[in-house]
Amino acid sequence: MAHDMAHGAPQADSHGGHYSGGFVRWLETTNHKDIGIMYLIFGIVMLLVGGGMILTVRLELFQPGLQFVQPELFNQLITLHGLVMVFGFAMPAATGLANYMLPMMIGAPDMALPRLNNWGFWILPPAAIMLTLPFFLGLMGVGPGAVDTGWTLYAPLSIQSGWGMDFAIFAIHMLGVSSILGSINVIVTILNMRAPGMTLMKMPLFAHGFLMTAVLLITIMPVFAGGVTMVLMDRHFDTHFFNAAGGGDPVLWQHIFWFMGHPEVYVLLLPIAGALPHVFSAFARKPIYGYKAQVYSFWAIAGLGLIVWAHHMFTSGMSFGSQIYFMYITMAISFPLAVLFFCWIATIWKGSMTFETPMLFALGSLVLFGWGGVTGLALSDAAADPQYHNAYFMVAHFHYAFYPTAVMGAMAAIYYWLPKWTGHMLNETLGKWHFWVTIVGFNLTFIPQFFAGLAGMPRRIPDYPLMFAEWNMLSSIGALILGVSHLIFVYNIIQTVRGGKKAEAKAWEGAEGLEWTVPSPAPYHTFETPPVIK
Amino acid sequence: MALIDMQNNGFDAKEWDKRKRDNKRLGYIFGVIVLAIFLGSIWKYRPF
Repeated sequence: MAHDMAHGAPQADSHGGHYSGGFVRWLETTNHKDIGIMYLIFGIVMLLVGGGMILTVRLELFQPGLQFVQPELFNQLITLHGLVMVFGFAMPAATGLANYMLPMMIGAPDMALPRLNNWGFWILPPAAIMLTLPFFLGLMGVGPGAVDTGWTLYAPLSIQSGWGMDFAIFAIHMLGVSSILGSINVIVTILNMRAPGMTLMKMPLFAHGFLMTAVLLITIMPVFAGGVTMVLMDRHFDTHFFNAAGGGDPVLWQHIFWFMGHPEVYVLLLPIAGALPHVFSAFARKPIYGYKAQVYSFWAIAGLGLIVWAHHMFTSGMSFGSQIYFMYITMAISFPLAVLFFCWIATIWKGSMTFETPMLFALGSLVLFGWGGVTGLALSDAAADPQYHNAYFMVAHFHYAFYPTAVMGAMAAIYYWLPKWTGHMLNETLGKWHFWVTIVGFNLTFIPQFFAGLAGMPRRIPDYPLMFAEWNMLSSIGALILGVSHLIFVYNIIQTVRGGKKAEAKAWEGAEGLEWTVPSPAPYHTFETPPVIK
Repeated sequence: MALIDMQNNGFDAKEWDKRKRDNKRLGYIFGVIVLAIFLGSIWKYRPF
């Protein structure tokens, strides 16, 4: 993608007193880079919070019997882990990437609606506090503790749960508003702020991934908000939407939840599916293969992702015809996903590959997400699903779907663009340590869970029969190693921010795109005069 | 300098003015769509 720099020479950094200092700067900022940084830091903090919670769970599961936490606290920990990781880490981290990179990659001066952008971020911290406050109060003996229904919030449990559930409902409303504001901003920015000459089909794949993500979010989040509002009314205003005793239907909640919950998988996948081709292309020193095929695959994944939700409910007693429909339509998603995989493999095929940290994480993401996809096919089989349903096999499957994309893929993207953000090259040795410790820790955590699940171990239990002891011990050791890997990541980021080898404008030899035409670190205002794309 | 100022940077003031208006208009349109989906999802299961 060539562009005419004569029309769009990037301006020098123009901090010059345009914003307040200290905390007020961050409170008031409308700059997409500032807001992107805040989203990313928020996401990493929540990753550590959610990770700490699940390490406590794995510590409890290290051996059979109850050692450290009582079942009530255990339920709160697994519920908050799920909610914090999905809504507190993965979505904000992706929004942070979009905020920082999207305007730079499409040649825009900023996001289209900068004040909305500021508001969208600052809703997040109070929401996170609201979600987790009952948990910490409960630890101090105040109140019943946090929401303890599992992240699926299934009725009628969610109707009967303590007031931690009310806090969770309001937190979900706030998180939903934040992600909807972010999504509207992404869509408007992409549709209306592209540099002259950048047609939709000349846009970087990163932007296409986020466009589809935003479309999905504004479709599913209002429905979910409606659902939790109905739960709130069932709890406090004597309605019976989900209460069978009053003529309601608990399975209705499952439909509403999974109408959000399944596309959520693609909300977490598509931004990364948009970022990975850039990394593959840069480190294979080849152009992206199958650009159009990947764009159409994004659309197909988003479209199909909206109509497959009930494959999570094969055991809820749905009709045979519905099971057949949801089984085949779920399997159909593997086609556009396979197109992406083949395009990514074709991009690196016979390339001059080098294995810097971003490339290692991108390759790791590709391979491990493949395992998530294949085990997902096994789960999508309506006849076989009752064997896996609510077993640890399923837990292992969705961690193979989420972690390689939302975490490892995000780390590939962060490491890839870190020199652009900080002006420093990262410490490659530490980066490689981070990668290999992650690979060992992740697989040691979740491979045993496939076997424990196949042998019949149910999810969400604090104690288990002796026959599952070895698998759980291995899994807990793996989780500890995986936890350590994140500390290496945080340390490496801090070190890179503080110093290191100076990064050039084009930090990676094979990198292509508008963002690599501006200095590293990128100026506070990137394209005050838009570049012209030829 | 906020975007509001940056969009009038002399590059093409008319062009950026138009984009600014379109940004707001598009933002409102998507806001209305979101609200309609939210209200529709509750209305579908109304108890009366």
